[in-house]
Amino acid sequence: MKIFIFQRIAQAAIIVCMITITVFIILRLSAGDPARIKAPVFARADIIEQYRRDFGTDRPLVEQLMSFVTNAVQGNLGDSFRYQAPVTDLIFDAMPKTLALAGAALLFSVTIAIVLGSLAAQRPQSIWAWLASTVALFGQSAPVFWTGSILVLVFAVGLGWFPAGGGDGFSSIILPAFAVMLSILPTQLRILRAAMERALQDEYIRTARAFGVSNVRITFVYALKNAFLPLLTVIGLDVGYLLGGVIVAEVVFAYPGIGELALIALNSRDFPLIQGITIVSASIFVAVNLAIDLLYTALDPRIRLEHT
Amino acid sequence: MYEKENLPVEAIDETRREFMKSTLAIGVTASAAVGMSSVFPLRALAQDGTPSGSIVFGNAEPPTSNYWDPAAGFGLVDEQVASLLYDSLLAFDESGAVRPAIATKWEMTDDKTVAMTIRTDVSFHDGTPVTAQDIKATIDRLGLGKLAQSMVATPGITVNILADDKIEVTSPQVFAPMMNALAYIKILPKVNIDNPDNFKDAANGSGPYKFASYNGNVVTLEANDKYWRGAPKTKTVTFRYIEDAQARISALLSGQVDILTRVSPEDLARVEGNDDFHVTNVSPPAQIIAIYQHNGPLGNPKLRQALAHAIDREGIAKNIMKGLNKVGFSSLPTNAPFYEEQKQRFDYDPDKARALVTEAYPNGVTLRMSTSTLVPNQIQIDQIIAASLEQIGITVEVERLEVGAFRSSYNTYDINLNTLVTFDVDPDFILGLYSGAAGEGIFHFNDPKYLELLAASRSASPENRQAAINAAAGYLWDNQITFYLSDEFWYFIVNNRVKDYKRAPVLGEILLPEAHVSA
Repeated sequence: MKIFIFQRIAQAAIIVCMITITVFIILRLSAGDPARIKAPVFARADIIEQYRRDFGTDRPLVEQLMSFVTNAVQGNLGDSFRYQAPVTDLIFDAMPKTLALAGAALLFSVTIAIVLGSLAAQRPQSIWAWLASTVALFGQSAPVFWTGSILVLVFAVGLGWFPAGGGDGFSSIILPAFAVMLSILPTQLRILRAAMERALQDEYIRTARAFGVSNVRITFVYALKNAFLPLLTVIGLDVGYLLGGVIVAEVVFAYPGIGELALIALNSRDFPLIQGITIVSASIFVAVNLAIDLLYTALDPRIRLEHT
Repeated sequence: MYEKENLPVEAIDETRREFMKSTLAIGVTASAAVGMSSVFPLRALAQDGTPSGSIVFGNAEPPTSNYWDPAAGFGLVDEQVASLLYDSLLAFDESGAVRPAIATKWEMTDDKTVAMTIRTDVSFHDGTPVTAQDIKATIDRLGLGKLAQSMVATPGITVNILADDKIEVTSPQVFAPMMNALAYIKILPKVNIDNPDNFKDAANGSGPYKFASYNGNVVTLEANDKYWRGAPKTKTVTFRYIEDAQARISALLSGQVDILTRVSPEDLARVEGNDDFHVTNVSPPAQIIAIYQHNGPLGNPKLRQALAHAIDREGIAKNIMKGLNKVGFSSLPTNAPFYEEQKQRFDYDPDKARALVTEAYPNGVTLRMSTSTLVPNQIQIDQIIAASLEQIGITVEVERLEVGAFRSSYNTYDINLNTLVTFDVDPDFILGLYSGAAGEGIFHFNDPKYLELLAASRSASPENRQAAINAAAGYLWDNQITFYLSDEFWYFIVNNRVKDYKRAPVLGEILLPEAHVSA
């Protein structure tokens, strides 16, 4: 078991290193002259030259990479051109907002997926099954920019219940979280429903029924435990998608999270910031998937046994 | 008290339902309370005359950079902020006429010198007094000609200190728009001019508002309670950058933003008939141009003429701008003083444009174009421009940039849409943009013949000024130094909770201190 955990952590570390190097090289080859990008329109030639020395772009690529990795390990990802502030400060300012948005969206989504998916699986001809299919179809079909705009029009502009955008407090999370939830819910709902339908056919469930265990207990305790494993895989992927920045939702709602920051960085050719966001987001994605792999072993003894 | 086990099933269900209802009610109420507190922040007016409440502007652009030297940039937000943080010797009123500010009296002692009496009770926000030394350092620095905004004054302009409250501003040549320039130039602390790194930290002016914070997207200013004209009525002013046009108008309609600047025809349609808002159309003379860089293919006048014939200006103004902006026939906005139509029309003629391209670049030519969301409907207009150029045989490589990056790197592309604005009402400001550090920085343009015409327009007597300005403007137009698309008439949408909001026909918000908000 310890070897399995060690292997997975080592794999994760290698992946993060590869991503770091790849991002560094691609940006250096494609983003243009960073000094020209950073310098304002009226900058003198000597100031532009000074920027080149500051960035070290007059040095060989390998030397630049070593210098970047050394600084990155110490938590220094450089300064953003666009914001003229340390990249780590910008990321750590935006990341909690994205975490809050992602957390809320995930909470809404998983809760609805479990409740609605379980009810739909248990009663295939009921209104719950119809509702689950409709919600899944709607969520799958409606793009975030559209649902986001509709939510803003109805609940912010029309009813005035929530702010139209911005990142000021809990109320500003509700609408973007709902829009994001609608985009991740269909997959979770379908996976959970299908897994639950299979689980409810298992013999141990029939045995539980024979013993007179209540339907609620059978569904939400015994069957859900097994049906949850496939959902866990989907949640892992969703967490990566959410933490990478739900760019569209953050733009529609002018929500100052990591997605909006990433978009501004990309459109600004602000490669220290692009580099930083990519590396931090990728690291979190890898870490979350590592955590889910380890969680599998906790939830499913068969996986634990395979690796002993 | 009943034990749960002893209750009938229906009663247990009833209890559950009640519990669910109560929980739901508490949840909804709590969420609504949190939501409402965010949507409707407490904005009650103070009754004792002290500044209170807040006004939030929604802009399509951020400041040019985190560097608070007002003479270093040309952006809308740069000037919004500077107009509230700094004072000038003179100021503009609602009609654009010059009125007293730090200077209480002034008199032209000859055609190159103005004598001024200045206030001695004005202080910078850090408490240090504004002295004649600060005024001299500010104006002399512009006279050295190295700053982006040096073009607002004549090279060599200087201040002589006669006494603590008496100065003379002297231009080496006759400088017709001297008073407008002095109403525009922001007075800075000498210590910051001597140590420009101070501009990186914060802005220290003597204006009605003090710098509070900037986070890359939002600039916040706080009322200067000790302002010499009296404290402004509103306590906090925020300039918020929202890149997405839909998010901007939604922020206005939902009450998060009070004033939306430089709105598009689509935004105006959204508030038509809505009693919660009104529209102001007090605009500085401004024009939308496609800036050319003269150190690339567009240094060739034949190619510039080709572009002038290739793009259907009237069609864009009618169909994209919905007739809000007039199409002019000179290098000045049609509503600028001294505007005069030029003889050459450069009418839309793709065949002629194609022939000119072939003549200029027989082997074809490629132009790099950057696009952004700075100008209303910019992306649509840029698509039309790019398609029009492709039709006459020019390859166009378009790159989309974020507004902040666009503002700081547009001069590295051959062509890009932008706006030229008269900051101080006088058209000399726009003509001056084609000279010195500004001409080099914005257009990579430096033409000695044009500089002669500009100098002549500046030193012209009042009766000859119209002809002299027309000669300089006509030179730019005839040579199509850049592509003059149309005027840009600025419309602002204002929430009616903002009272007494007025604008002067200049770029900044110099009249904002009189505005206040209702609860």
